Amino acid sequence: MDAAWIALGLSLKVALSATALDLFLGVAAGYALARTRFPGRELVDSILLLPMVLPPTVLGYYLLVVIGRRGWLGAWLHEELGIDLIFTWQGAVIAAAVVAFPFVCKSARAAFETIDVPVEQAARVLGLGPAATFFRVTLPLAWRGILAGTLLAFARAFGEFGATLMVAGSIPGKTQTLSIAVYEAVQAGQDDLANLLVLITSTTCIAVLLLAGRLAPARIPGRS
Amino acid sequence: MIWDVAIRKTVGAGAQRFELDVEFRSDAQRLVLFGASGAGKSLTLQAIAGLLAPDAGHVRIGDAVLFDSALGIDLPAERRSLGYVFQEYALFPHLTVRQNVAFATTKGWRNPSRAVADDAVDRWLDTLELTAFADRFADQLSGGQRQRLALARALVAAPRALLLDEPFAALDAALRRKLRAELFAMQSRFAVPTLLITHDEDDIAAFATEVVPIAAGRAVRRPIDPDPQGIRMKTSARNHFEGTISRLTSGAVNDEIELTLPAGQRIVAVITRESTARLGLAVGAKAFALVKASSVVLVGDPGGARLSARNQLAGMISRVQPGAVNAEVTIDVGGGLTIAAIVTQESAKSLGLVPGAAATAIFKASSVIVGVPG
Repeated sequence: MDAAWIALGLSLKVALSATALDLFLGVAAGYALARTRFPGRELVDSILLLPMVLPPTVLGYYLLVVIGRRGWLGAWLHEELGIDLIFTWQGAVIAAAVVAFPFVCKSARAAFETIDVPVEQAARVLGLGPAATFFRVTLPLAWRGILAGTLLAFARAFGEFGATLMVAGSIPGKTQTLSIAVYEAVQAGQDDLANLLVLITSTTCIAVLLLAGRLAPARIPGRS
Repeated sequence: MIWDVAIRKTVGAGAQRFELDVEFRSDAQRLVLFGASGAGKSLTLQAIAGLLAPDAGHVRIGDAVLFDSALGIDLPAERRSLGYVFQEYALFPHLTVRQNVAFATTKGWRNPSRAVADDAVDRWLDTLELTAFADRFADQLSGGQRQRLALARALVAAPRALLLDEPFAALDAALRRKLRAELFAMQSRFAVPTLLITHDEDDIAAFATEVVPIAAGRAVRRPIDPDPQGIRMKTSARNHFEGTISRLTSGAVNDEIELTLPAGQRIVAVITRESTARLGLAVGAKAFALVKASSVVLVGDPGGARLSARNQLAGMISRVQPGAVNAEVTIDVGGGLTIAAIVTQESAKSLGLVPGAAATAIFKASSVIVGVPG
């Protein structure tokens, strides 16, 4: 049964890393989409949301094309830096991050768009530069929405299966996350192990969803 | 000069295209930009504050150049030291009243704490009667309190000028009257040059020392230049009009001259035939008319009155400057032209001559002095 706890640890490591990555990238992309006007903005938005609707195996395939050893980025990483991402936990992080990215990006964009522009302008007129305005006004008014999206992203990254399997494979203790371990356990007829893994996964996801549900309506102190 | 603003800006494209071309100079402590919604008032205010980049022009307040396209100067909004009261106040909903007021006095990337202690903050909370609500959130305040908070937040950093965007529009009539009086008292007490934009004529009557009318993105008004370009002459007359002679009728002793001004107004002057000959006046020639401000009679509404005076220029009062006995009233007659009139304080009061009111300037053709450039 140790295998279950090792898989849980690995899943948490991968999902947390992917979520942290998505938090930065998703907030930046969501802010850019909410605050700038450029031709093709909605097209960019659609492309960024694509991981939500594409089959994970298709995403996995795209990732192999990009970061695989002969992929256009993967080949360069291998030649120049000696880095291989395929069949590593870092590769699993990238797969999970890509799949979970839309949750952060979409919720961040929505949260930023609900902020009244004059409130940010007021901060500028009162002497704050763009960065200080972001951290003192924009982010405090948007963080609940962003956090709710981030929790969903974590849940999605935690349960990620298809793209991770294609990019990182299923190496026990190295890249075999919970959801992949479930598949392997069922295939091998280890029902007890499968039951335990499913229970752990379900409990974690329910806890995250409950937390996200509490945060989802962007409540601001003083506003009911 | 307190206000020296010239802004040209095109926003949008196609059917949404809007051209803003606003220019005004004024020394008024309480200047009002008056016009219907959609006239370009808010855009003008945003350009002054640095929230909108003009295509060309300049923004000078007092001795500070905030924007000048020719000199390549464009201070970012945060370095213009202006106070701005937004239409819906734009208070920070995530901060308490005290934190809102302390916002500008706290530098860096972190907001002031709820217990922030600062003399200026305490003083402004007290001045605007907000001390009792200091720990509430902005959304828990009434309309009047919210406006006072917006003022306190703007004034705490001692701005070089205060910009107010329709500050009374969101309030009911009774509260509006009360807050107009409060704002007037506040402005008089702290002597911060204030620019207010509004579509409500009552705001002008209650607040303005001077008005700039704005319509369809245009406002051009300059104070009367005592030494207009092209005429190398200084006179004591307050009113100078340059134009072209459009009609010249000779009589036995006197000639009647009609001067058409660039914006289309006509001024009729009666001068001696001898003067016409000496100045070489002829139809089509450039000339100017001088009218003493004390020769100008004002009426609120001429109605159907028949007058012997030949010159009547109708417009809107843009400025009333009270003196000890008399008041100097400036009337905007359109096309960038103003005419000044001296009336007694008593007449100004009884006729209701306040900025924003309609008025007609009347003067006799024989009181106009005609000159030629040279």
